[in-house]
Amino acid sequence: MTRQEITEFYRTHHRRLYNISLRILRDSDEAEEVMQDTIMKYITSPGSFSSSAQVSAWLARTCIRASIDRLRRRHTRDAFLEDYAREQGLGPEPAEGPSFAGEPPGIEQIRSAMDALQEPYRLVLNLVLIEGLDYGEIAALTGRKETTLRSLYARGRQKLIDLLKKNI
Amino acid sequence: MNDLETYIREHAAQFDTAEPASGHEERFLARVDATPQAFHPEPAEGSVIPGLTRNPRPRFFRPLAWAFALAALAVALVVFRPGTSHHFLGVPNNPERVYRSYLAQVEKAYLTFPWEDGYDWESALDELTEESVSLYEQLPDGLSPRRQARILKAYYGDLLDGVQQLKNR
Repeated sequence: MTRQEITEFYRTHHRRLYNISLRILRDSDEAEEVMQDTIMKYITSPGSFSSSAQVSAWLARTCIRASIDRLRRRHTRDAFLEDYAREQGLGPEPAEGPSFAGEPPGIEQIRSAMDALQEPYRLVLNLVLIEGLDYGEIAALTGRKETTLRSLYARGRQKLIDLLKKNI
Repeated sequence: MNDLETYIREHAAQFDTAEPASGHEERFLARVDATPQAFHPEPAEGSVIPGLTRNPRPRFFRPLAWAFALAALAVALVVFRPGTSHHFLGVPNNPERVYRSYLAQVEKAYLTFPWEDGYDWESALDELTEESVSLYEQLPDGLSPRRQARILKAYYGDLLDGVQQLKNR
């Protein structure tokens, strides 16, 4: 790639990758670093893609993985997801989560409510709802059991709805 | 799945509004300038899709990926009747919507393959799903959008069946 192509590539992808990482790490400097690392990794690696969807998927996956790795390093002495779940005594996923009656809240309200959630809930909700990953994928990325992730998701969803109802 | 979850999923892109601190592009380009391997020779005109290719690999030196992809596609074609793909349930007969749905499903496949198991999934997926010019762009305008959409569903449905076979390998 020429310098001009690299610049255009960066402008096309930086915002999405930055936001993916920011939602996981909640640190602007770290998110920028991960975003740039991801794009650098792409442009310096051998290999080719035939569609923009493939490029986009590779970038997103690499960015999520790098962000989660950083998060795990940040919490080496703390419990991460499964340990947290055990500490909280989380049981199986509820059969049906609470629903949100009426008009959905605005994006900003949802974003604020998600930001207010504790880290394990926020991480799993973000990966499932916004990044569109399933539990198997998240389990592969985090090294945690799907049952733990489902429990965290179900309870995070309930907490999110409680927060949104409180703020409307 | 309740209304709120559906709403968030459908508006996921709208959550991507934050921007890095000012000067981020300059900081990135400084890193690029300090990394000589970021630059590669210009590819021959017409040989690649601009912006998508880094260092093209010699594709014909991947016989295993070829063989596996072709076998998976053959199985998919036998098992599923064209035009009845379950991959596009709920997708309206709009060519662009079908194509976008296909791209999204390919993207999902890249995210879900077990990359750490040593098999060259990337090559196999490339071989199976890549199109130098997409069928979506090649269909004649004379066909009705509904007809185009049905053709695309059948064709891309077969490719996605092949991807599924790969995944179940």
